[in-house]
Order: sequence, then structure tokens, then C-alpha cells
Amino acid sequence: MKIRNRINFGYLSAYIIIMSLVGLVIGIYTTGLVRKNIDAYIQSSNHARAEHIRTYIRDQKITSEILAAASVYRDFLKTPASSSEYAAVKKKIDDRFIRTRQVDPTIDEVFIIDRYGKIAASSDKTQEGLDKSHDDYFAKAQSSTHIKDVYYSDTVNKFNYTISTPIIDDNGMLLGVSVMRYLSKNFFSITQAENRLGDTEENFLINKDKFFLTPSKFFGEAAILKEQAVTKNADACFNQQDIAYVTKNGYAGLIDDRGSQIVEAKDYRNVDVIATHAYIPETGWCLITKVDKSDVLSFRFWIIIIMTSIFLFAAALFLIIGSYISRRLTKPIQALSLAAKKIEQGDLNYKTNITSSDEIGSLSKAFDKMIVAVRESRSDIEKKVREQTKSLIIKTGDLEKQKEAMLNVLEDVEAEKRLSDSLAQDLEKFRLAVSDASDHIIITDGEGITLFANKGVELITGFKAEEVLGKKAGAKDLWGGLMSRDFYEQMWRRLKVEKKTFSGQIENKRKNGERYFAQATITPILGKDGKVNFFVAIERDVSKEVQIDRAKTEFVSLASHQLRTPLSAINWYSEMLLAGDAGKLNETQEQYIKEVYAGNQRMVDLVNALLNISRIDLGTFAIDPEPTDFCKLAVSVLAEVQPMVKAKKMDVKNECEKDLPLVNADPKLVRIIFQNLLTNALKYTPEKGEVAVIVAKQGKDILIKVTDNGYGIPEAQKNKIFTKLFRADNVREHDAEGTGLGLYMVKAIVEQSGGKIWFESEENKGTTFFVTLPLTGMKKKEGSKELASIK
Amino acid sequence: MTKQKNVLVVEDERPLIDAIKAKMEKRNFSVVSARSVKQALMYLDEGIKIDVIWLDHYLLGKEDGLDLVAKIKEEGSKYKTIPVFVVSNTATPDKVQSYLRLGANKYYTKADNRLEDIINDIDEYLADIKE
Repeated sequence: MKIRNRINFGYLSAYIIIMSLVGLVIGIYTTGLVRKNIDAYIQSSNHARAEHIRTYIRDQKITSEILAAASVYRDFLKTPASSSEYAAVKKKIDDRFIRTRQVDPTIDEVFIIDRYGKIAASSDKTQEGLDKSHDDYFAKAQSSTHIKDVYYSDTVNKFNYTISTPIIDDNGMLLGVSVMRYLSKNFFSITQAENRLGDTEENFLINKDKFFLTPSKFFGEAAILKEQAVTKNADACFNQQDIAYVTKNGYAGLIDDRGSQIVEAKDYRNVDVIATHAYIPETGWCLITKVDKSDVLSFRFWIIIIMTSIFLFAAALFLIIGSYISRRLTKPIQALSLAAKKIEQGDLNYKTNITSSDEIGSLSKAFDKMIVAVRESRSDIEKKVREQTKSLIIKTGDLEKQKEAMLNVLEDVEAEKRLSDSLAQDLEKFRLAVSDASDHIIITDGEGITLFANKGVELITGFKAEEVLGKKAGAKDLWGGLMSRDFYEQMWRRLKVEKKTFSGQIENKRKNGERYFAQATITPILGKDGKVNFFVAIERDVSKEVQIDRAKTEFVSLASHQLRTPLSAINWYSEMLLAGDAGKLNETQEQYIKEVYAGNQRMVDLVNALLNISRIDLGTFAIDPEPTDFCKLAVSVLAEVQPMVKAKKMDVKNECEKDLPLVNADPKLVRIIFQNLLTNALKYTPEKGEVAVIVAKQGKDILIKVTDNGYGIPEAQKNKIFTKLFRADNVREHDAEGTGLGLYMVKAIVEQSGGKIWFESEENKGTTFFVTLPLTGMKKKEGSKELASIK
Repeated sequence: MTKQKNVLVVEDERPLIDAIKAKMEKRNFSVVSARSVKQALMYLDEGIKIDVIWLDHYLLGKEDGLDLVAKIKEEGSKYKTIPVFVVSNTATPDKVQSYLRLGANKYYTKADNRLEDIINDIDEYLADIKE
């Protein structure tokens, strides 16, 4: 809203609020005040009139009593009509009557009634002689003055009241009654209202029966003795206690003693009036004073009209003044805003020209200064802009060239993007495959911090992906920490230093603490700089397999124990017998026991061989490669078999190539190979035969050659040579010993080691066995057993 | 006469116990035999001075030879110094390793060795200790 309107509105609101309050207060106050005045006026008016009436009547009463006491009245009544003085006395009375009426014209008739009730004399001659003995003004005035209530006299056709006083002689004897008749009309003026309060103000007298004695303002004289004022106010007037008080004390102190005499009620017309009353004890009348309520309170309406007019007038005045003031205030502000608009449109030479010394004036001065400053800086800027534009033009040329280059790059980027999109699709496929795989698959960064963990991780380890991400894979607080420190150090060395794949069996623990075996393969992913960027670890829960393995192992262990125990017993008892511990043996006994012992040894060998076979079959034998000197082994085995060599007087040659490299092989297994081939060569060659052992390098392999000139292998049985428990017929003849398992075992070992075995043989000429093993050596194989060496 | 040496033979097979006992007694050993770890420990606790223990792997009861060696060779055991020779038929290398690691002196496979040879080794060993 504009400032001007705001000011006007503010003024108006304040004004309205204030004036409303003021109006309310005034209204309430004046109403109360006026009302009080009305009441006071009615009351005092009423009492004053009532006093007047009382005085009036009292005066009349006194007049009557004076008159009744007149000697002439007594004389008259004492003088009989027949007497001679009667006429003279009567004349005196008549004169007295005339004089009395002259003095007080309100007396309508004055007359004397004798003690018999007959009008003895009257100002109205027509009344003389009438019998009025039944009339109250005679009957009731026997002992004291009686005021007869207003009545309508047929004889005179007027409303009258009488005051009659008994005429008593000196002896106290009643002579007659003096009566004065007044017209009640005399009261009419007293009761006439002055209309000070309003047109409906009226006073009237009522008698004890509540009949009007004076005219009603509204019904006129017709109401007299015809209409009654049966009202609350009239009732209040005839209240016994009030009457008692007024009779005793008059009106003074009546209100203090008896309370407010104002009555608000309906009058005889059933109209709401404010009224009061006064009892006239002398006559038993009531003077009613009343005024219509609406009449007196009609002023209220006028007050409202007047106040509203004043109110509106003042409002208008306020508006005009306010308007003027606000305009004066806002004019300079408008000038300022106009100036701002001009400047906005570009006219920097505009001046506001506001010269007032108030805040607005100083504001406009500052404004002007600011415009000047802006103008000056504008021109500076324009200068600078011109210079800049020049250099810009030059730069734009360069930019154009750059733009071209960028466009070319963007094309390449587009192509790359297409490629990466298709890669992403493939990746997504792989991701899905990896995600759902049941093997534990984890991708970590170069430090082993987990970047990705698939569902398999949770399945196997119990740890959810979110528990694993961001942590070191296989950390102690996750599934790792069970292996020896050496193990982990070796693993990390292989992964981080050698940057090669680690493969092995690890014992881990699940989230619930349960231990399990995992077959782990961890591969480092190298970046172009050769640094390890990621590790990919795949683990399979092999607990079951390990469990089965252990079971098999335990079985074999137990089996071997069970099989060997009785053999041991036989061995030892035979041994003791042969040693003579049970007494010296004779030759036959010794021979037999030797046979037993020998047979038992065969059994032991067989059992050992069988156990080896079972391990080979079950795949539970271990390969522990280490750098092995094959020549040294060959020599060692040869030394072992020396007894047999000597016994058979064999010629054994050993040729080992010089500078043979060490081969990563399990020496125990290599020993078994040598042992077997050598003992076969020795066994299956007759005495004084030749056996040669050659170890040499052949291409990528190491070659072992064992040659003999023995019995050879029959052609028909060559294909069975490597089968279990097979012994060729020709050697069975010559040699009872031999399990038939040796070559099966050697073949298994050689082939498990990644090598080859074959032979060349001719019956009765000799046999050569060839074994090649890769120079790269045997792959490490986890196994629970080592093969037993065979004697 | 050289003092008789006491040997505790822990072996579950009756015929083998008899053979070992017969041979050892011939070699001037006094033999106490037990067929389970519990029995063996009982004899030890009774206070019999044992100079050497001949121990098989599989025994009667739940515990095996490894348990006995573990108990005997643990920190604070009064039997820690008694030499233990394990003579068993099981040939698992990890068992052999376990026994040797726990503190057994030597491991023999029954079927591969003569009584005579084993006892010779024991004799030699005890003789060496004496010195």
C-alpha cells in the first residue's frame, strides 16, 4: 500500500477507535444523569403540588372552623324561626355568607344545617329548608370537621366537595353544622402539568377508590369519578405504612425513611411511565405525577443522531487533514522513486531537486551524489569495454581454432563411450554371474580393502556385504585370523611382492564363530604400471571335503593300525624266538621261524603298499615340492640297496649329468620312484647282472633312466605292467617276493607330478624304464598323507 | 649290577604287551604296563619312579597317546623329564610331527622295527642321559 494511504488509514483507525470509546462513555453517562434529573424533578414536583393541595385544604378547613365558631352562627341557630330577632339574625348570616363568598370566591355555597339536618340558611336560597340529615356532610360532621370526598351533585350539576364543621355552643352541645361547598374544579389548576419533562407529563388526584378527581390528560374531565387509575403507583400511594408516615410527618424525610417513591410501571392506559405519588392525609386522596418513559428518554435518540453527525464530521475533517499531511510527506518520496526510474531508463543527468532539510532531503542529496558517481564509473567502464573488445576479437580467433580441436576430441570420446557402453553391458552380465555365485568372491583394492563382496560371501562367512565393504578382506574381525602368522605373511608376500596368484587351503571362521575350511584362490590384478590395483579372491567352502578327507585319513590310519598290529606281534615274537629269548632253537625250528618271519615281512610290505595305493586312489597323498637334487637322491637310494647289490654281486653304474639344476620336487616321492625302479631292476636281473641309473636333462624335462639286462617283460604282458598287483609270469617264477604294486604307484606318482613313464623291454634281454618330470617341478599338493616308503 | 630301570609300557594290545614285557625284562628293565591314559597317569601318580615311557598311539578309552604326552610334558608337570618313545603303527606324518613337537623323543613304526633295535635305542638314550 502506498505510504499516503497507509497514513490515512492509520489516522482513521485511531480516530474510529477513540471516538467509539468516547461515544460509549458519553452515552452511558448522560443517560444516567438525565434519568436522575427526571426522577428528581418528578419527585419534587409531585411533593410540591401535594403540599400545595394540603395547604389549600387546610386553609379551607380552618376557614370552615372559624366560620363555625362565629358567634353569629351560634346566635342564629339559637334563635328560633318564630322569634322576632330571627329575621335580623338571618340577615346577619346572609351578609356573612356574602362576605365570606366575596373573600373566597372558590366557595360555591355556604350554608348552615341545624341540628335536625335541615338547611337553616344557605347562600343558595333554593337549598334552604332541604333535609340533609342523611348526607355525610351533616352526619359525619357531628363532632369534628369533615371533609366530604368529591361527588357529583345533581342539584348543581357539578363536582363538589364539602368541608363541614359542627357548630357547638359553650356547653358543648351541637347546635348545627356549618358547611362550605367547594368545586373540585379548583384543584384542576394545581394539577395542571407544566410539561417540563414532556407532553405526556400529568398530575391528577384520585380518591381512595382510585377514581379520578381531576381530569386525566388523556381522557379529560370525562374521567372524573368515572375512570379509575388502578396502577402500581396508586397502590404504592395507599401503602399503609407510607400513609402512616405521611400522616405523621408529612413528605419530609419520606424518601429517606421509606425509600424512593418513584415507580416505573404501566399507567391506567397501559403505557410505560415513570411516576410518583403523594398521599393527602386530610382527604385521603393521592396525587399522582407521571410521565411517559418514552417521552423522557426520547432524548437518547437525539443524542445518537447528534453524536453520529459530529463523529462523521470529525472523521471527514481528520481525513482531509491526514490526506494533506501524508501528501506532504510522500511527495518527496515520490520524487525519489521517479528519479530512480529515470536513472533506470538511462538518464544519468537527472537531479532530484528535493531541498527539504529532513531525512528525505538528505537521502535525495545522497541519491544525487550517487548518480554522479554512477555516471562517472559508467564512462570508465565504457572505455574499458572498448579496450577489452579489441583484445576479445583477437582471442575469438584463437578460440575458433580451439573449438575445432575440441570437436575432434569429442568425436573420439563418442566412440569411446559407445565402446564402454557395450563393455558395461558385458560387465553387467559378469556382475550378475559373480553376484549370485555361491562361492565367496571378493574384490579389494591394492591394499586389501574390500570394494565388492558377492552373495556367496554372506552365504559362507555369515557376514553381509555391507559389513565387509571398506574393511580389510579376511581381517581378524571378519573371517580370518585362524592361521599362523607365517601363513599370512607367506600369502601376502606371494600376492604383494611376487604379485602372483596364491592358492591354498585356509581355515576361517564364520560370523557365528563356526570354523570352516576354504579353498582360496587370490589373484592380484596389475595396472599398466605394474602396481597392484586390485585383488580378486575366490574361496570355496571345502569344509565338507576336508571333513571327508579327514574321515578317509582317519580310516586309513585306523586300517593301517589294525592291519599292522597283528603283524607286529608276529614280527616281534618271531624275532624273540630267533634271538633265542625263549630258549635255543634247533636248526629246523630256526628255519621254520625264519620262514614265518619272512612271510610276515612280506605281509608288512604288502600292507604298506596297499596303504600307499589307497592313498593314491583316495588322492590323499601330499606333494611337498622343494628344490631337490636328483643326483644326490639317486646316490642315496643306491646306498640303501647295496646289501642286495652285494648279495647278487650286481654291477651298478650311476651316471648323473653335471650341473643338473635343482628341481622343485617332493624328495620323498622321487625317492620312491628311484627305489622302485632300482629294486625292480635288481630283483628281475639274475646274479652278476648289470644295472645302470642315468639322470639327465632332456629338453624341458629331467630324465631318469634305469636299465637292466635281466628277464625283461613278456610282450603279451607289457600292457598290464602298470596295473595293480600285477606280476609278470616270468618273474614270478624266479622271485616269490614282490607285491605287484610298485609300478602302479610309481606311475601314479609320476603322472600326478606332471611327468611321464614308459619302458622298453625284451624278454631275457633286459628292460629300460624312462621317467620324465618337468624341470618346473611338481605342483604342491595338499594331502593328509605321505606315501610310505617301501623297502 | 646296573640298577634296574623302570619302564612304563602304554599299549592296548595284550599280545604286544607280553612280547614287549618279555624282551624288556630280558634287558634288565622292570616293566609296568598300562592300557589307557588314565591307567598310565594313575601309575605315575602312585609315585613309581619311571625312567622311560614306551607309548602306543591308539589306546583304550577316549584319550590317545598324544593326550598322554601333552599331559606329561606340560608346564609344571613332575613327569616332564621322563623320555617318551612312541611305538605305533599309524604312519601319518602329522601324527609323528605332533608327537615330536609335544616332546616325544622318537617315533617308531611297529611293523618296520625290531624289538631289539628299539630297546637298543632306549638303552643308549638312557646311558647318554646318565652321563
